[in-house]
Amino acid sequence: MDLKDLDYVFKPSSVAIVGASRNPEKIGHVILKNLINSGYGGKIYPVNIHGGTILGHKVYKSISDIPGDIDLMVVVVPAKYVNDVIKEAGEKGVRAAVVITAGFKEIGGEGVERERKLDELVSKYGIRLIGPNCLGVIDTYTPLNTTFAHIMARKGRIAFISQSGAMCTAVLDWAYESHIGFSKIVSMGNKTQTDELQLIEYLADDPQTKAILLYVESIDNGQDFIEKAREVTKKKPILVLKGGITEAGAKAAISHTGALAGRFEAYNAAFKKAGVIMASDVSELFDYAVALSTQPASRGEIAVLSNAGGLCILTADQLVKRGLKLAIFSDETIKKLRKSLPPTAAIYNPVDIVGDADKQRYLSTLKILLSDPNVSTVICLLAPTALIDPYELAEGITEIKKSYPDKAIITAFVGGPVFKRAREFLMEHGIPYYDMTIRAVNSAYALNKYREIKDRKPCRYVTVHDVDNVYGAELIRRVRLDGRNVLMEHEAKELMKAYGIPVPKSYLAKSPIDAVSAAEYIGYPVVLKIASPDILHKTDIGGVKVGLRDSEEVEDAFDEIIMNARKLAPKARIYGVLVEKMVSTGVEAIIGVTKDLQFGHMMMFGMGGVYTELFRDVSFSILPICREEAIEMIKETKLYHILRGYRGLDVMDVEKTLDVLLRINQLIRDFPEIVELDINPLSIYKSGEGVMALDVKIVLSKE
Amino acid sequence: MAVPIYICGSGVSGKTLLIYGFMHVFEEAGYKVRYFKPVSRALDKVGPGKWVDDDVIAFKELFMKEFEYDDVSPIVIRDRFFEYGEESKELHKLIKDAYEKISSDADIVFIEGYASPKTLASINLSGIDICKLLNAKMLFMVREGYDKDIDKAIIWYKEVAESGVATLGLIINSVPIHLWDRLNTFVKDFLYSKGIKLYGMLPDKEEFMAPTLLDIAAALDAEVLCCDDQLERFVGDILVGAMRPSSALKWLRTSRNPLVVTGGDRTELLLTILESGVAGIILTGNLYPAIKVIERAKDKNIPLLLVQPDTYTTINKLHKIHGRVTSSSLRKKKDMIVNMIRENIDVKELMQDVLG
Repeated sequence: MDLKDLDYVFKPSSVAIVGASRNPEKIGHVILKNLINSGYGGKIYPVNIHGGTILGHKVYKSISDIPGDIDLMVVVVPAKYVNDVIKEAGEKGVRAAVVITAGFKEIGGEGVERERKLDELVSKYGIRLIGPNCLGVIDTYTPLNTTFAHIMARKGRIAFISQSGAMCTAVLDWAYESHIGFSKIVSMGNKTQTDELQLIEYLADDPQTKAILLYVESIDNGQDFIEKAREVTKKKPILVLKGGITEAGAKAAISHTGALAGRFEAYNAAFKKAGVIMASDVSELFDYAVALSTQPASRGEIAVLSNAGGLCILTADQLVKRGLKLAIFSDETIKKLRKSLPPTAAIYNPVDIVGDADKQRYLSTLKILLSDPNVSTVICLLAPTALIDPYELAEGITEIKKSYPDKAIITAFVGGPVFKRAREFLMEHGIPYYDMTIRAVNSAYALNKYREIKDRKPCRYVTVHDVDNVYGAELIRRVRLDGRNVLMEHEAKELMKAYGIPVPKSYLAKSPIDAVSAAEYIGYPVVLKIASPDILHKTDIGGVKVGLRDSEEVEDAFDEIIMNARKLAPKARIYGVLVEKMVSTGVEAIIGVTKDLQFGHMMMFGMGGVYTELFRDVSFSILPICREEAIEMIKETKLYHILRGYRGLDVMDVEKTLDVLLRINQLIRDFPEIVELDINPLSIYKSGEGVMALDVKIVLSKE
Repeated sequence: MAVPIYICGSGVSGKTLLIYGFMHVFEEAGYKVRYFKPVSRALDKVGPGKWVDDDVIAFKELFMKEFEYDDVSPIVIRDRFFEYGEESKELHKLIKDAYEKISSDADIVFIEGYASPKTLASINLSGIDICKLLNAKMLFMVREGYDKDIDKAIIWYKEVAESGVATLGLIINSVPIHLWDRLNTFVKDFLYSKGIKLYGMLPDKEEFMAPTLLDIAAALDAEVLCCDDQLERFVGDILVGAMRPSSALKWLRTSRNPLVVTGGDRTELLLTILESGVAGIILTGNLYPAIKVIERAKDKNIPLLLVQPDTYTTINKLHKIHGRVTSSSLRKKKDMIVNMIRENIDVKELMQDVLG
């Protein structure tokens, strides 16, 4: 559906309320009252079978009785009548509907069928639908309030989209008290037709919205979300509060990637790729939003200004903890500060103008800091003293800001009622005000983060051509034909080889004699490993024997491995034993891929070997990745410092490691049916000597 | 007069399923076939106070509706059986009478044995005793085919041959992939040198012993919350849903036809399980799942079985079901077993040896 028709939801020239009620305790009454009180200027048509008048408006007995055209219809009738109303509205040519009524998919059974029918009807008549099972919609610029919330939102630049209606009312009330304003508020309900994807796309071009906030419990089309959000975040920031990203329950994973890649990591990787900033709670979400909707996205060159030393130190600590940097002042700034401030003042960042400072000292210092080219954001801290009138200071800060439109100012006046008026003034004039230093630091973080997102280099996806995908397809076909979806190690390694990733020489032996001849052919020493699609942790069941030097050892190891497997994995299908050349190990890395249910394939890179899960030194990215993203993945880990030659260690082959990441990326593009892949370890040798995949696990989707 | 074949194999060796397959193969070749289990061991009661073996219930339903349970299996034993020793003559007569009744119009009778050839010799009801009584030839069956299994078969063969009962050859069931080549060459020759014919080997196939969801639902007395038209599916691995959803995903992906056992209150985990294509889900502790779980299960056609006991008890019960035979699971496995027999067993040779 065309997104333009969302205009009928937010800027309708007429609104019908179907199910309007005379009873002040009914939702149908509250919504009508809210709509009238919001100052809505268009035509209002209450609809109720009993007719009459409600709140001074003539009531129509049905939609068809309404004389004029209807842009928006708000539906609050009982669930069983909703589809009849929609049908009638469709015949009448109503453009959009907000269905408040509950009793659809969320109740199961008949509700599911009812929602399916509703979806069918709105498609048939081309009606733009919000809901059902939602709180409604607010637009403060139209103005329009079709919700049954107890208050109207203040006017502002933040659009808030929520999957939970209750979250909307909670946020409305809290934000009102905090002097935070909104451009639009949308409660999506069951998202039958309109979901967060369409809304962010629409809001991207909404001139009244500077920041888009999202509260979601589920994201249905993860890949589409990433793609859409990536476009929108070039224009304006998207902030997300996602419910349910941590997981309860014990850890029991089959691969290392599995153990490390949980819901949280998937969302984190997805939001990173999308350029979406994730908040951990409602207050953090709005700390971010207030700054991003009023201040320019600035680089993390932060100056801290305060009349209290304690606040300075706290803020500096918090900035460092969030990975932000204090600006280093230019010589000229230092000179000016030394000249203008008393000798007891701290003139290096953070700047403490000490407790006896008056408004004049505060404001002139602020000007000096803003004029420094090395400063892009100033956090203005204030502790209450008798020497500064906070309200007058707020006026002064607001005035100065006008001369520095490209720089960000964030205030944190730490105290209580004494700052009430100053807070109102600052918030109304577009200067973020917080009552705690950490919240100012949060907002500085958001500004810096969004700047990074905007500055991201465009990603160029390249195809790796020197891979044998025909052989790959044949190999996968053979595995499927055998009724399996788990590749055995030798098959997984053949696939690696086909994709240009080096693996040790190996051979599948079915008997001890077989194993000995393989070992003699490959050359001692060799490693023997159990070959079974049902045994993924070979070492755990005694399925691996290393450093075998002669035929006797090989023969012995073969029998022992089979015996161990029968004892400890009695149900496993045993195909034989893999005989493999024993190679030296370099620095051990892990490369993993897992297919996330929401976001698709996710790649992991980091420290490999037996300590993988202990150190958890890994980075994630949603696939596909471009070269730049692959480089970033490597650089995000501590392992990178080791590869670069930490404290005199050898420099390792980073270039070849990068090459493997891109080849795996290609493999997944060619065979998206791979749902799990683990190379652990990938042995990385000295620069120029390459890499080798020593153990590889691959699992395909079940057909 | 019908020709009786006594199939000897220990424990859960797959005798029942093999007999079921042979009955179809021989029937299709134009013979009238019957099933007979002279001595059976019962786990369940059928009707008021009557103990009947699962196999007997299944075969009566599938092949021998017109007969009574007592005709198909005249002697049913439980944990105590030495008391029977004093009435061997009467028991032999019972067996003989029942056999005559069911075999009167048959060409071939497949007699399902009770463990090894000498088991129950203490009460004169061993395989050797029965073969002598009914003049049956004995066919041997072992599982897997490791050397110890073959050794057992050779010992049995010798015992039976020495007793004067006519012997047929050997069939090896559930052969692991890595043993196949050795059995087919070296071991086959070794057996031959001992005078034992290897008719063939059946590969290890999980579905062979697997129960269907219907069997499980019946055994656990489960309430089917969704998709009762999907209960004929086989169940392979049994997974306990105790991990976090993303970890569960890895297990689900590598398991074969899994049945997941978990509490109905674990909504997020259940939604993940439903996305990954499982055979079915058992919800334990009588915890009714969230509506969205049921709706998703309907979308995905995945049966949800609600049971009263907790997860641990349920798992214990499930392990006992494995290998048990019902008419529904036999019916479902018919094509698989018949094809496996045709592909892997020298049926012509066997027929010749049986019919002489």
